[in-house]
Amino acid sequence: MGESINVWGLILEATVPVQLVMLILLTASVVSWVMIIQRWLVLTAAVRGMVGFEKRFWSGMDLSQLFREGSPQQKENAQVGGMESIFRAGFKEFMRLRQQGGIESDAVMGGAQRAMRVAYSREEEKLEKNLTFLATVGSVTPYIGLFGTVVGIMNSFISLASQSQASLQVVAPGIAEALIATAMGLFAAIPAVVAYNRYSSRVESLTNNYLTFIDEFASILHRQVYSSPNK
Amino acid sequence: MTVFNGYPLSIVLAVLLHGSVLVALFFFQQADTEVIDIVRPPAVKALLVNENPQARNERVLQQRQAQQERQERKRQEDAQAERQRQEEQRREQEQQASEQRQQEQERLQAEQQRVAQEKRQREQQREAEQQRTQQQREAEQQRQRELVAEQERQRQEQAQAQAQARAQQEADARELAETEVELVMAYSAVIHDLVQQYWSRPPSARNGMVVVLRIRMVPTGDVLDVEIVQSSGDFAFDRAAESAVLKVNRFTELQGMDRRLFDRNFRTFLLTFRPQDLLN
Repeated sequence: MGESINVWGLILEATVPVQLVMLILLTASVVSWVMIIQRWLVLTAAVRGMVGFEKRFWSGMDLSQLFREGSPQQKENAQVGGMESIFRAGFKEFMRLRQQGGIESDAVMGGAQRAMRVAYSREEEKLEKNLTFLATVGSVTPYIGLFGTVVGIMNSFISLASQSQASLQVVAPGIAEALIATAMGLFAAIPAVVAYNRYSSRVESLTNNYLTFIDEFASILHRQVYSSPNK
Repeated sequence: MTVFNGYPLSIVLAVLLHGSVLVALFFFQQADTEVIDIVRPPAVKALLVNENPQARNERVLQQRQAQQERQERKRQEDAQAERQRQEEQRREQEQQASEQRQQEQERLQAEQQRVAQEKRQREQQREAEQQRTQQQREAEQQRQRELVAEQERQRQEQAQAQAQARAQQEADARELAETEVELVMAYSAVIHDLVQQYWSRPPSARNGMVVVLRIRMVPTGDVLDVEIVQSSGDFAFDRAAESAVLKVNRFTELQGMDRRLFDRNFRTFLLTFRPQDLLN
């Protein structure tokens, strides 16, 4: 390693296309890390919320009381998410249809299930948001880095052609500078790919839990509808 | 339970993460550059034997002076020889003249004798006549002999003169050849130096490697082509020498050279490339 070769010096003295590539990669890396951290926060919050809600749901508490507990939170404009929002949507629809009267039990059940499915798909969308961005960063940044490297090496060989004495000292800085681009591409891509795989599996398990909960809740509502024949 | 949005926090965290990575990189690099002790490879010590052009010019001038002196001396010698020869000729002519005079005197004596004898003795007339004819014959013979001798001497002189002239010519030619050899050596040293300047030492080069190149040039000093006549046995070394000559491209030192000298020695020039400054 020569005395003048330093990663910073190389980055600052790099040719314009390579610097541009490096800038793109740096922003991609920063944004993907923003997504990684934000997704992590969202998913852990969703899991925590789901566990807490399930505990309360199966604690034998009255369903209308559970619904009423959630209401002040919603009035305070705090977002209610995850499993609880599915429960609220389904229960609200169920109650409304029952109070109107004269509606058949099947129709009441159908309305509640439809409301829950809508809430479920909204929740799923919320969870999967930005995951595609991580996938894109993970698959594209190595190519961008490779592009920067190829351009840099091309430049260094072009400058080599004008030299009368071709030595390693002439080529080395250009190639080192070019390789920084590949390194940065990999630096951006590896966490993005890892996070994408991890988060998509977590989202899948969460949505599976939601679906199971919808079925369970629907069976509870079903029992309630058909066990009270006077309504 | 709320779904935490958390964008501001995650942005701050991501930027902090990248900043810390970059700062760490920066400090590691600095530490690296401080620690690294640059081990220089053993450098090839280039011993440039500086041939002073002034000194060379002086030497050429001295050579030229010496040549002039030699020519002067030769001319003097020539003149002396000429003078000697002329003197010799004159002496010969004098000798001839004196001989003729002698002969005439003899003839006169003989006539006087004959007249006296005619007067005195009729009988001795025949004898006298015989004597005279004999004398005449003898004289003639003598003259003929002398003539032959003279011719012989002249021929010898001529041969000598020719031999002398030939010797002189040979000496002249030798002198010329000597100065030419010196000039050629000087010029080839210049060419060798130039080639060595442009030569980059391949790692496989060793002392004692010799490659003979045939360089074809034109009087402007431009190199037309290079050819390896005798390889050193190391391909890289041969190639390096060849490309050094091609890199020189034009030996400007040859431009002012005498045309005849150039045609005879440098139009196709055999360069024995033998770098001396290798350490191993």
